[in-house]
Amino acid sequence: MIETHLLTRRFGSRTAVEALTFSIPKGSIVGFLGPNGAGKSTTLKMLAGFLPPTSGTAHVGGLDVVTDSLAARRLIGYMPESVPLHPEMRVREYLRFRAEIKGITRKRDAAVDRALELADVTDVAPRLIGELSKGYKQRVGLADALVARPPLLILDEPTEGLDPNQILRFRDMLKRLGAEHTIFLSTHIMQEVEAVCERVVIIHKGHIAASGPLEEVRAKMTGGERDVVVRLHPREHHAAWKEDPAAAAKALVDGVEGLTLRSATADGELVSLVVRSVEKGDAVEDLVARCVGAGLGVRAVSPQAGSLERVFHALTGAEGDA
Amino acid sequence: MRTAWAIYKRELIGTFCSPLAYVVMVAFLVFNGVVFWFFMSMTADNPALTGSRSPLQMFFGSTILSVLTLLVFSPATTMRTFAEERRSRTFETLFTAPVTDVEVVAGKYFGSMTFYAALWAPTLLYALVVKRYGPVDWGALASGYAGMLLIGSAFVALGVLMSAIARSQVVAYMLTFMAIGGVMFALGLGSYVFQEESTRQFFSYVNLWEHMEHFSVGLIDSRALVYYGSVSLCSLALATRTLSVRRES
Repeated sequence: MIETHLLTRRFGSRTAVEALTFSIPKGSIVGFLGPNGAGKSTTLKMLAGFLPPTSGTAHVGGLDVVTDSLAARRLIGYMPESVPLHPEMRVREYLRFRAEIKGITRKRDAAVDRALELADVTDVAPRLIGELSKGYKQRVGLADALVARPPLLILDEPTEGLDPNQILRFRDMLKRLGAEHTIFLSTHIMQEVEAVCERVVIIHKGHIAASGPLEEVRAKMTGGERDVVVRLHPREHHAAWKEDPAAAAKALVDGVEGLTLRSATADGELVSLVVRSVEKGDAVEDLVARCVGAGLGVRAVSPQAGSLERVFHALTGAEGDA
Repeated sequence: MRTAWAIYKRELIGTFCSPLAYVVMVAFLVFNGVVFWFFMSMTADNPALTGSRSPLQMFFGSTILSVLTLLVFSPATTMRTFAEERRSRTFETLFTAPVTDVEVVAGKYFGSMTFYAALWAPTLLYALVVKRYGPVDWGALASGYAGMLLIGSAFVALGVLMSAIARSQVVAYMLTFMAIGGVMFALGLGSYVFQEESTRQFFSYVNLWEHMEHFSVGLIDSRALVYYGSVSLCSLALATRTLSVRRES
């Protein structure tokens, strides 16, 4: 759906993005991850046909965004950062206007109604945009991106400035839309990518740091290993585990192939183990079977949260916090 | 052209939903009301001074008062066109929709022309006032309005160009004011300065004062049509070019 080749953009002597080459297949939700100022918005503006690249090419649906700009723009629903809208217009009126300039001549009202519904803003359709809350404005921006039913949605930091409830709601909406649209969304929030995306492109200081399916990128950066948290209930072995959880855990994990113990901590009645396992294979299952065999209760097995975050930090260094 | 029509309609909403439009309209009517009252009382008090000219002819004619009207009010009709879109960043959503620069400029230009025409529309009542006290030369009146629209077309086009260049409405206003005042007026003054016939004729061809005088007495010169038409088209073409250049920097 998107193909870029050595895409470069300079502003005077400053290089915003340099030699970006990546591709995004049709029908996927892709996260565009990078610290603030990495060049995400510049890249998205080039893809959306707003900024011409200094050099290199970008194709959307096989169409060059510079030489075939008008046709390429028809394939894209673009929602810019901080969602600029016309405050003096009513929501429905604004979407009718947007549908009209996007070339929807027939059944415009039906298209507007559908976009209102998909973005969950039907209830504010007759209201002035200037009076709406931030969350609603964000969704009106999404409705605008959706109104012409474009195959590709480009969203620049779509959840920026929303409260936690609104963010969850927005993510659910994106997952639903992913069935029909290819979505390319930028963010500097790792959890967002882990929550909604299947693929990721990581950019740092104007260069591609990593790109591909989420699992692959994670595996590549962690050397094909992942950390898993196992929560155990020691039951009758309570005393031994309480006295020295590390030794007890070591004895348990040592015999399992492909597994190394990272840490073991007692917390209340339970013990939390963090083990590092190879990405593929069934070492974790072996461990669970072993626990059950040893008469230990297994309360939870889960991947350690924020593993992509570690990838991100590894790639972008301390500046990732900025 | 359907897209230009959509942008035109949005432009009207943007203009007439803003309080600024009404401030400009009221100021325009107050100013011209005073001007018209002045011409009326002048013709009544000193018929000898005004000669055969009616108050309406003076209203559209080449007096400093009518020139001031054009100079002060026409930049106000265009200052928000692009500068406001740039400030609110809707510029970005506009140009990522499948629209061409020409369609956008056309929509904005006709939107501003409509505002300009709306400024002048209430002055039609002046003719009805004059009619109560004497005859009205309807032909000359029509030509007076045609002239104002023609000159306005050039000024509005210049204003659209300046708004495409400027970053804010105030700067857009100032640039348009300077373009109209500095170029369009000053150029015409050459016809009073130069003695040599060919030079004098050239400046007389672009002399706004002379054009206004002709329009007010019912004379529509095709040379003026060509002049203002060319200024409008050149300005709009430059505005189109400016939009694409501004995005590249």
